[in-house]
Amino acid sequence: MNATAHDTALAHPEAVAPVRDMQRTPRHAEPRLRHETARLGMWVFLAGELLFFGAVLLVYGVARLHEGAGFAAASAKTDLLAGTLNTALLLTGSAAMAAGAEASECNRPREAARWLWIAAALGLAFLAVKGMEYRHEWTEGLFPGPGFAIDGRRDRGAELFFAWYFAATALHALHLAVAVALVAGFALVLGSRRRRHAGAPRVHALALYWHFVDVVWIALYPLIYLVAPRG
Amino acid sequence: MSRAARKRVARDRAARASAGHDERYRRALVRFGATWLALLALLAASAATALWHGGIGNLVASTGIALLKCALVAWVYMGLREASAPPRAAAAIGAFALLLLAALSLVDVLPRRALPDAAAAWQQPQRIAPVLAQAHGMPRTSMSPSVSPSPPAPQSASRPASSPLSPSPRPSPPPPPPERGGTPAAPRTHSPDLEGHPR
Repeated sequence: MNATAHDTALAHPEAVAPVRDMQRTPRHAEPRLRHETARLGMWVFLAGELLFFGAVLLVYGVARLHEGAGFAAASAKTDLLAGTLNTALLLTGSAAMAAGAEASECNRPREAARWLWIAAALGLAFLAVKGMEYRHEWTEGLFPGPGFAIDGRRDRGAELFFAWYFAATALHALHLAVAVALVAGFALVLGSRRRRHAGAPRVHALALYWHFVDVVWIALYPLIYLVAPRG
Repeated sequence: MSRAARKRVARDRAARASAGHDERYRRALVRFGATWLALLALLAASAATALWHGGIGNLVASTGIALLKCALVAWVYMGLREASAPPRAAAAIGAFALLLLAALSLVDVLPRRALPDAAAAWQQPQRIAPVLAQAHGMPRTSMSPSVSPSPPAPQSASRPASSPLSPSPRPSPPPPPPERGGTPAAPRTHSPDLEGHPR
């Protein structure tokens, strides 16, 4: 900047201000556009996660094509009641997260915090039920490996089912654990004085992630527990 | 405008915004509650299919109900209902890419014939060749890098009954006719592939 322009800037700062504002990204100047950007960014991330879990489901589909009988026998050993309870917990958690995101957008931070605490508690309950299921399957000898046996015999298809089952549900549980930790953190911030750090766009993006984890479990539920009729 | 008037205008504006937010929040809670009840009803229907002996209908029903639940969550909870074009496009592209992944993978997998139980796809070729040769009544040969495994003959007895979508095996191709006159044909350096097709 030459001496003449510099003198002008000092003498008339209002003439320089529009230039300074244009140097910032215009989107950050409008809350609505910030919200849209956060939403789109999370959707793009979820599209990638969809492909990640889609590959896991595809592996299941190919394996079940070749080992249908083994998969049916293995699925009959899973706990339908625990799986149904877990699905109900996650669906209720999703409803709570949606209500929390809406409360945040309607400028109700304390109510949003309450909804987020409810969602986090339901997520923890899911993980607890899943842990009890794992313990039961371990004691029944259903963990794949040298000690695997189903009804006292080795079945390659059943062992393949349980290998996939433990891998897929562990991946899902890891995603859910991250979601629970983030939700609990946001609930803490929303209930405190620093609630501006948990603004509506961030809460909405977190809710999208939570709903995606729920969608993954909705897809896993029939593949694990409903392979063949029971009783 | 006096300071008191400015305060009054700002208070009225905040009250109108708050009333609008209250109405929006109340309607959203009703919508989420109704969706939650619908999802629980679908879950109950899905669990009930475990008691129904419907053959392939079980798979169709459970998968269909799961897709419906996913669509409800995406449409209502995830906000696709009121989202603008870019998030909807991102969701659609992700779903399309998943369908493409599934279609192209199944195109590769479905036409493959099931191998005998002892010859699994993840075993080394050196282990598969003697098993296949024994299964098809051919002389056992040791595996060398220049020799490919012989094409499997139809194995209807060993095909698993639980794979209704396995394609019917194709017959192996007839041996090539001997050449007339002249010098004998040189031995073929390229063996047919596992499907019996000449390379």
